[in-house]
Amino acid sequence: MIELFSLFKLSFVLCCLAGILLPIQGAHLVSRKESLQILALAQAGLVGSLIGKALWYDLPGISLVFSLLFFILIKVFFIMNKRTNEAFYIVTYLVLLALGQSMIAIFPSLDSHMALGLFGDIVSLSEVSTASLIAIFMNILVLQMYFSTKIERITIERSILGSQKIYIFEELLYALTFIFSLYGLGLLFTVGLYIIPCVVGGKVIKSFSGSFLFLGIMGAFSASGGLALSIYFSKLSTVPSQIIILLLLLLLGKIVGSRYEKVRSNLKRKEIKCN
Amino acid sequence: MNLIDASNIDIGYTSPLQKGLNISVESGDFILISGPNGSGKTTLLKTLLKEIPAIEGRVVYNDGLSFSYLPQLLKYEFPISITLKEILEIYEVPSSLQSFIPEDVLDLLWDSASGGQRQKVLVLSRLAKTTDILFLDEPFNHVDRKGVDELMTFLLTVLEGRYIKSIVIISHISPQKLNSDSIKSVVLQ
Repeated sequence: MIELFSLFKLSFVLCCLAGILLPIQGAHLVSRKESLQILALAQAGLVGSLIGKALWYDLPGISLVFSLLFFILIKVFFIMNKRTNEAFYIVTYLVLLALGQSMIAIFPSLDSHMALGLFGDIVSLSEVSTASLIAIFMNILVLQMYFSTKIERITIERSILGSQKIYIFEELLYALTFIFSLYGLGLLFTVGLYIIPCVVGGKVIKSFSGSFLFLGIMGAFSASGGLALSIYFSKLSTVPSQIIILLLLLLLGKIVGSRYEKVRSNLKRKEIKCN
Repeated sequence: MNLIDASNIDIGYTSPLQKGLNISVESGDFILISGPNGSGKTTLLKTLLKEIPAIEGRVVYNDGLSFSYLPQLLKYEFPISITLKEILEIYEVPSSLQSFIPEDVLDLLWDSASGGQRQKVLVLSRLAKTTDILFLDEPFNHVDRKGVDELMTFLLTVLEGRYIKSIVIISHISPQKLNSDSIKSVVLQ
């Protein structure tokens, strides 16, 4: 079993990195009320990848390029269209979903590619691909940290003050993370780790920086824990295990957090009474 | 000394919303632009902010003039915890300005803070960088009566402390309700 785990050591590193990076970026996007946009863009990335595969099946990396192009195309469409709202994102998602399914009906060989896109293939990724994804995610994480103040300001401006300001460099960072994560870890993992941590566990820790740390740790634990479980129990699927562990960890954190808060406020009340 | 001088301007997008407006902003001014919905308050603000040109007339700005704009605050709850102090830190507001807000209030989460406390934090975020004029769009929205008085006192203190040269506010609140003699009022019909 130890040998089996050591065989996947790079996959564990990748899961940890993605587990930290995706919830951090997701917390910004969810705060900016872009959860549904994430869903629509994920579908755009998936459809782009299918188009790339349908056109040049044997060309390596073509699905990645098309995925990125399609993602950026739809993102630009959202930015240019001032009337985008939640309903608009749902419509875009449904149209893209229908487009993807139509392509599979026309080219049945794309079915396996679609399944890979949905659930990822972290355990079957080559060592080179995994190492490349690690390097990419590592660089993105460093840049995300380096520009954190500017990114945090944009989040505040866009959420509280309704600003439409766009920071191209940040958008590019998100696009790259999204597409590489879709490619290596699948749509369910990517969207799940973008949205679930902030929505479920965003208020467990009573500070902004503390919350980001908490969400990053939960993401890393669940991503690597899910992978470990799927290696140990061969019948378990990796991504669903990761998502379920993530939910359980966040709910546990929420329970512990609210208990801690109760105890703290009781102590404070007693302190005030004593004074 | 006039920081901004707008004489006889017509404002609007395609057709004028207001004609022949005269507004000058001087150092030390606290200006309240009020009027009913659709009277062109926001359009006037955007014209002064150089976001849209005046249809007729000219707006003259003092050389090297810098200004900040605080848009209308949306009713919004953060899905992630953030304290008022953290917001000030993100905007790199110097501690001398942070001291305008009591320590225990700074520790409040955004969601638990009152409308007035939120506005004060956002005003300070705009003062982090040297600014001559601060433009505020409906700062009294979502603020209760007591909060309005506190916010007014805070804004006047900031102005008197020369952290800023002048403040221009657009609001649907009438100047009489703000109980201040220092306000220069511009009422749009």
